[in-house]
Amino acid sequence: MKDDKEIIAKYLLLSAALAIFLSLFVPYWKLRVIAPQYPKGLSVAIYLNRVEGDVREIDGLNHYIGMKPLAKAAQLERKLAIPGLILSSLGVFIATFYGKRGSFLLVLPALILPLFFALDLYWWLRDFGLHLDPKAALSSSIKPFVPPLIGHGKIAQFKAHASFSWGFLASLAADLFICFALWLRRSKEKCSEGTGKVSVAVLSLLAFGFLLSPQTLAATLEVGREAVYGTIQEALVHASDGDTIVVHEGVYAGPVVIDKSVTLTGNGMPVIHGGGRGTVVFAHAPHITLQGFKIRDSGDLLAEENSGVLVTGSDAAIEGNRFEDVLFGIYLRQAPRTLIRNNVLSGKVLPLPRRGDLIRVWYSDDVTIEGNRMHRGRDVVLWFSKSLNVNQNIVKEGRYGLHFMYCHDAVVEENLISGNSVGTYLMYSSDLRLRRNRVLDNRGPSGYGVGFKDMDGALLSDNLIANNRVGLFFDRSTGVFRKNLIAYNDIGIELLPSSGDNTFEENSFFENSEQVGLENLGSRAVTQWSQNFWSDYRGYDRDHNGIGDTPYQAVQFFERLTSEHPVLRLFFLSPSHQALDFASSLFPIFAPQPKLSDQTPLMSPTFPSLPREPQKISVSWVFVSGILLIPPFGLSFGSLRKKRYRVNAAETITEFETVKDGEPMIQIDGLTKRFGPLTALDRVRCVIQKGETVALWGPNGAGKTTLLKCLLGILSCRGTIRVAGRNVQLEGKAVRKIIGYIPQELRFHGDQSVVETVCFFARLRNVSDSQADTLIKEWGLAEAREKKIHELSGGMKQKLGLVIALISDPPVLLMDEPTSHLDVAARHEFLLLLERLKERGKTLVFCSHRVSEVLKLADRVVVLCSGVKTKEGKPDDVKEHLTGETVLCLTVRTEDCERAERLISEHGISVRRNTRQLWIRVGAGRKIEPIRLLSERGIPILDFELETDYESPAK
Amino acid sequence: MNPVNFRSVCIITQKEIRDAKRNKWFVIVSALFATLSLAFSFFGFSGLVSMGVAGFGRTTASLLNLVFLIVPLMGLLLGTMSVASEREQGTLTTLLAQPVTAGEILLGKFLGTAAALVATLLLGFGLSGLVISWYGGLVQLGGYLVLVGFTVLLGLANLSVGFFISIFTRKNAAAVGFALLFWFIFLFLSDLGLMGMTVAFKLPHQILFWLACLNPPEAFKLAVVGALHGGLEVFGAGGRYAVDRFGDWFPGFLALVFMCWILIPLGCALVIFRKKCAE
Repeated sequence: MKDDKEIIAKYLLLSAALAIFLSLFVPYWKLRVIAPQYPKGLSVAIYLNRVEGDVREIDGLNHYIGMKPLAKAAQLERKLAIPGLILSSLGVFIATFYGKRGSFLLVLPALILPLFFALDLYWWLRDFGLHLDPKAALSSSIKPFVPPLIGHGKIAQFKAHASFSWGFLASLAADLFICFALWLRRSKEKCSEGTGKVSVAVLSLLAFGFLLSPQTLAATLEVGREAVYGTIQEALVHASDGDTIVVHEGVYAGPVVIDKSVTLTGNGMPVIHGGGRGTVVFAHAPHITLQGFKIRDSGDLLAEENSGVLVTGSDAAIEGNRFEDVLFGIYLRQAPRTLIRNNVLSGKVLPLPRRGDLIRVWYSDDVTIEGNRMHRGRDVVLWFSKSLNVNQNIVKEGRYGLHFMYCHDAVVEENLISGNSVGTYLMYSSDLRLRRNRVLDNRGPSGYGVGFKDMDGALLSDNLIANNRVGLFFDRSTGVFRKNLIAYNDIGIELLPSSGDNTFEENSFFENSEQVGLENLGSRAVTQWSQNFWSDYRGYDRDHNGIGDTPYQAVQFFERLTSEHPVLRLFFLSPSHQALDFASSLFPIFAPQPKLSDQTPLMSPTFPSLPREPQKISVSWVFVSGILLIPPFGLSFGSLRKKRYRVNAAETITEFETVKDGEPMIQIDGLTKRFGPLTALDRVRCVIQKGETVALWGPNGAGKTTLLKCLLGILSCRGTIRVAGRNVQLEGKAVRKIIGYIPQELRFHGDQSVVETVCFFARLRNVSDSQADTLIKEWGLAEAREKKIHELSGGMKQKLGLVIALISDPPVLLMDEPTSHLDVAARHEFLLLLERLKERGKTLVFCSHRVSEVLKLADRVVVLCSGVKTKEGKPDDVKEHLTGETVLCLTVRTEDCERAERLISEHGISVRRNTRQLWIRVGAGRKIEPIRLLSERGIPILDFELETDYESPAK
Repeated sequence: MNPVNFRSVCIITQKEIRDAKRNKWFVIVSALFATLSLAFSFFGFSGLVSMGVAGFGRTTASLLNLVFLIVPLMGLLLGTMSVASEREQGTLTTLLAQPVTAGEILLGKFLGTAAALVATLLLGFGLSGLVISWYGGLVQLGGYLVLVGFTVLLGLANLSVGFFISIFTRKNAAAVGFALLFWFIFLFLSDLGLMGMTVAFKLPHQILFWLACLNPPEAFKLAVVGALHGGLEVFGAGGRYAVDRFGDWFPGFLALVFMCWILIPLGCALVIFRKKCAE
């Protein structure tokens, strides 16, 4: 045992001597300097006895800042280095064979060599840095400094990176060997341990030595505007496996080729820009980590599969990056055990067929895709890979949100897949488990939420599949489906005839337009339905066990109709669709065969175990709703504030041409009006002067009212009518400005008040509300101002008509039997009003059946008979033509009143009635006709009287 | 021809709005519509709010059907009764005797009734919007506004047809009868007729699509379901034809169809009413 230890000690010491000697030929220390004028950098290597590298260039740079030339440093040490090193090596060599106590002194120079080198170097660095020449060109801008012994440093615009090199490491290793050898020698006398332990110790030592090698001494390289390396690629050139490259904020040109197992970490989201060509980042080595970068603008050639990152090494980790404007996002090509986590990927703005896949996995097993957010890509497509984990990703606006091809044993959990053409398409794979995913709003031409094609053993549970065109689609696939919520899809589940054996348990089919679509009804036999909730189930649960007592059967007449005539789907959701389904439910004989039957339907839905959304009020909806409510509330409350009407002075009646003296106010020439075969007026000629009062006389149907309406211009006619020189047919509206009109019985909207009615007509005639008010008072309607029209008496109504006719103080007044519905007192009062108007020079034209009115008011009488003017002249001149009419008042039973009115009216006699009385206006010699008519029809007359006020001029 | 005086039109419009507010029948129908709209939003859009999802389901479709059953009826009844009732009451002659043209009267009446109708519709949709906002506004706002817009167009198109019918109608009862007849034709007979023709004569989907588009309720359904449902695929070959033919302009085309349904009957009514005036 003692010999063993001695042998090991000798070997160690020999190795140390050799290492010390060889260290003479390799650098002990390296410095790399990057300056603007040397973008590729300068480097010097410090050997024990010399300085090599870009010494001249660095001296040139140092000159500007007043630093001494490198040659002046450690001149003595360099001279002594070779003999010193040889002596040290020799001392160790001698100590190999000289194992006495004094041997320690032999190895002492070798032991202190690395420490001495480091201290000496540091001393010189301080000396050079702190003693700058004040006369140097850039001395004023440079403060004294200490260049770094190890690591990064910055001097003005120069960046430096220093590190110990192989020579130093060799001398350190030699020290360790020496120490271990000395320890072995000291302890060899005791030798309590076996050779195994010695071997372990040696191995440990070797392992420690390995750990000290440059490869395992992971360094951190920095890239950035103010860091040692200006480009990522440059840092990669100088990096070793295991190194970390920290890339600071900035924009870096791609492509970046990572061919070492390094970690690239972005600080402040640096951008790697592909410039629109090719792939941006290539990760060719295993164990590459890429995190915290914004990778953008790849090429757009599908054939070349231009990507954000192409990973071809195993065990990579792509984390926390943003991919923008890339054709393919992350492309794993035979890169097993890769982790893709928390990245955000946005594809190029291209038509769907020209887009690439945001994540593409090709022959890469055990890949984890987690927490990524993707939108506007083609697919997230997974090819020929096993044991994938796809969790908590968000995929939007793509073609196939998730697309599995020949992938087995995958777990897909808690993803949100929405707004794609197809949510998830699972093809030619087996044993996939989809849990707690949200598959929403996928409505492309296929529009499947989840599609299954040639799938075996799928398990879907606790998923929410909503608002897709088809919730679940099956083509030759088998699976088990539990506790999924399938809601608001056009078709909840579509099964092709080739669909395999599927089991649906405890799912909720909620408000799908068509719950289940079966192509050719072929799948019914092999699909098991049990304990599902169907929102259109109309059964009951008498025993309160939560399961309906009658089976659920999917029967819809319209669906059956559209399966036979697909074009009729255009009428889907129309009232006729609803009507047909309703009719078929009323008449089951017409109901089609059910598509499926669930014998144990649930009475209430089961919701998947997904996190519930907190309810919150949408501000934008409140805003829009508020805007929608403004018009109705504006209209409802707008009239609360009464607006004063503003008169347009340009349109007042005063601007209307007045009639010159000697010219007629009204001139009628050849007036003819026909209603179909009936001629109401036949070539009537008449001239009415200004201020003249003319009565139109004639029996009912003579054409008096028609004539007045023609004068107003509200009936088309032949011939010419001029009022105040204007052609009524061409300028009816202008003419009506100077005409006031009172119909036989004035009708207004009964629920309007007097003042509202007057103001309305006042505004139409461009008269202010205050003038209208004045007129109301002047004509004695002030007390009835706020009364509703239907509350007024006949006399008041006619007075209101007069007010409206006179509201703009027109020079012409047309009246159609204005007193016919007034009692004696009211008539008398009304006639007095008309006399006042006549005195004021108004031109009055009126129809009347009352001779007394004609004689009292008219200056002239125009007698009409069957539309023809038979006579015209002063009242006294035409007295013989004014054949009086009589009003006969008959009292009958209440129940006979309506029938009696109809009979008399059908006989061509004018009649009005109240509950029991009929007022019948008949010509002279015809008074007996209505009495005879009623007697013949068996209607008893209880009483009768003649209205004495109706006078005949013959009397 | 007298030029249109918009001040006169405006005065008549204001009166029509006032009359509509006092019209008990109109108030009842408005309340009914508001209630249905609220139910539409409550049951249709807030179905699975706790799951963070709302959609266009059967209940929504049924309620939507109710809405577009009522709106055409409101439009047609308001339209047909507008002139007919004035004529029957005798108030039309008084109005015509004023210095306004027949065209101004008809236009004013149309604008007034249209304003009242639109206000009623907006009231219903505004209240529904508040319900939806309470549930977090899960429905797409754009789709909802399309629903509002096309409901207004549907109402106005039927109002315009109602006015056209009203020109030829003397009695209120006849007006209501005609309104119901046209409502039935628009909503049921035309669709069922087309379905029958399709089955009997194997009409191609292109022709069926064009014919269906000419029917206001069908045009309304295509526009609204397309917007709320996120596409026209639900209508099968006809829907796909619409997408291929019009793309994103399909709602614009349907709006044009509605504009024709509003302007042509109203224009004809104006021309005929001017000629006929009233008696």
